[in-house]
Amino acid sequence: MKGPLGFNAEDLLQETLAMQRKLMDGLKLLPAVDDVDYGVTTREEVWRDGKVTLYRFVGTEPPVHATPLLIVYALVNRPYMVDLQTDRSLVQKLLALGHDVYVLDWGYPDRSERYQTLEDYLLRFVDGAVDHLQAHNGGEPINMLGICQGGVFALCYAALRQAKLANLITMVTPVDFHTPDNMLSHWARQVDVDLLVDTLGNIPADLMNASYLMLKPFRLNVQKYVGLLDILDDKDALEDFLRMEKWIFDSPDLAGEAFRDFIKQFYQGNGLMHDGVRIGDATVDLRQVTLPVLNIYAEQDHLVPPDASRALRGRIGSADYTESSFRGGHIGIYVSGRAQREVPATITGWLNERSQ
Amino acid sequence: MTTAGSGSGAGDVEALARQYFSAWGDALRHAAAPPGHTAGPEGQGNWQQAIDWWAQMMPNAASRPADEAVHRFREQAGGWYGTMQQVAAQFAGRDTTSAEVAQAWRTAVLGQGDGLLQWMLQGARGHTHTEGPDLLQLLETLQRQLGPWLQSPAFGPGREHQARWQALLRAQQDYQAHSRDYVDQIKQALDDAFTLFEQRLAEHEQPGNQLTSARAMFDLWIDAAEEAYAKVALSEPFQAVYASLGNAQMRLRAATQQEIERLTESFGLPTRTEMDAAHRRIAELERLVRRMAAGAAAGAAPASTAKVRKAAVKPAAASKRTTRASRPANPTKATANPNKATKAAGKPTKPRKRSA
Repeated sequence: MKGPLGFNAEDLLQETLAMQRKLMDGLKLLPAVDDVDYGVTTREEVWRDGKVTLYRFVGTEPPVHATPLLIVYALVNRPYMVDLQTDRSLVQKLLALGHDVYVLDWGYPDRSERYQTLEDYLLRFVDGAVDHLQAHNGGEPINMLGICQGGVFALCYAALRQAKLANLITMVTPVDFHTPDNMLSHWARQVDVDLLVDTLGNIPADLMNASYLMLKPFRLNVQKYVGLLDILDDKDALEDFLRMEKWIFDSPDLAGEAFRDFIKQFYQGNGLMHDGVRIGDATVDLRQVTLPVLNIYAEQDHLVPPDASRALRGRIGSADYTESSFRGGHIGIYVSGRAQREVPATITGWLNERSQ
Repeated sequence: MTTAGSGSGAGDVEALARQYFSAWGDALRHAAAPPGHTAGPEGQGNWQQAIDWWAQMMPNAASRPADEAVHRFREQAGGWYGTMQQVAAQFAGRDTTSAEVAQAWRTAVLGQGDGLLQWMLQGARGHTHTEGPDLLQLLETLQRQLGPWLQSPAFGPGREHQARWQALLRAQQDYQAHSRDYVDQIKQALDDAFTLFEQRLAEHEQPGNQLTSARAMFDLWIDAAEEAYAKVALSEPFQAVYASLGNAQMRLRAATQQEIERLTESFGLPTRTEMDAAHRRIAELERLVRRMAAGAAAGAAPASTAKVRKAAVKPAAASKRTTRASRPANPTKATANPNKATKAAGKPTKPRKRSA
């Protein structure tokens, strides 16, 4: 046969029959798939301010490292991505490596939280949680792990309250929001965010999800569901798929004023690159970040392109700056097998070197 | 999904499905042409119909996510399976060219109409929630009903009201114009995708490098479509069109909300503006109290401040302790279900609650 298609009618028949078998298996398996569970590690609430809750994860063994490790996650999705399931849990790996792990859960903002600003998120909630952890750590500084937007928060917080932190780890964190491959930022550039927030109040999760899906519309809206056929005979894979779907679309609405702040200062103003970020009355100066920083980024990240993360190099005051790249995408860095092996070990090794 | 499964035992459904697929398989084997001959789509059965039938046969799933997976698989993948099978069957086992396959693919995709690409055009439809009233449709109805009145010069006691409604109508027309611009961009991306698909197909014309299944052809299309779309989506014109559409949508929505507020206010109902004003005041007061409390604490506890400053001088020193730390919390009291709001269990990490 000449041309790009190298299959004949018999091949197509076999493809059809294989499809049949998958559908048959799915008919038996799918009805038996229970509602997916997520967030596998036992945790306890240790502090709360409004809807924001600080949880401590409980490992099977007491922590070896005394310094608390606080995970600060993004506002746009739920933080249980770091503890999705037993074999895909950054938290469990960190606990197993002896860390005392905490996560700040932002909750689901409602209309009454519409006027919460970045100042509230950083200097009320993050600072409140850090104060609490410090108070129970003999007043000593703690370690912080900021992820994605939470990494931006962590950087700003470190610039404003550096004395409260011992070490800072940023993961898939954008610093330069104007790299040419940053589609989300490209779209946001001319959006009238004042009009948007004044009209909508809080930003609906569905609107945010629609925007994310349009970053790769063919893969995320079509190919992903076409591929569902491949796993109709695999209960574990089906449950993994459903769990991931749950996380992707379990998105909180975003507090309007914080969203306005974030879009204007970061997506539009690219403030971290121009020393132009203000949190409340304070200006964020990354040169004030002189503590050790580990910056982990994903090499195939379509949400936070590698160059957006790597821009941190040379912008902070710290002489102790380490970069670590991970082969995978924005989500893979939490859940892939490679990530489970490499990321917690990298964090632990780096922290251990700084606690000698 | 509540279809054939209702009232039927799982065994009955499985037997029925087995019967259906068995008959289908037999029909395919008889219809399959020998290698080297063309197989018509009818000879391969209809993949989309098979998926439709399968979804109808699916017994009630044990969980909502599984039900949703069936729904999405049918809605978002079924049509594409039909498309790939239709094109693959057209060329299976015969000589062809990349141009022929690409043209057939274009015809098949476009032949599915807007339904298949609905998700691509969703942004142009005025929804900020996936469910909810279609503002555009509502206003179009209103425009038809009130057309002449809205076009005439406003005067008299109702002048202000009429002028407002005319402005609302202009906002709607403006939004429709921007929607068309957006659709044009998407169509451009699709057009480019078909061209790129042909080029990608041409790269597979060499023996040994041919595509060996309908699914492989589909995956190649997805790659080409994403690449072409990304190029358009990262262009300056798209940025402008995207922002203009979003801004026009917000102007229309704001004008609509204003009218709704006027209506509800006339019935003595509290409006969103009033609620927002109260929420804003509460947020400002909370911020003020926090600043005052922080100021008071700073003045009252110089010793603790000094301790923090001291820690800041040598942050790494703080994490020197690598000895096994005792876990203060009682794990047995920890939350069994980490997904639910929890009560604090850790004694030393006593919860400190603050009202929102």
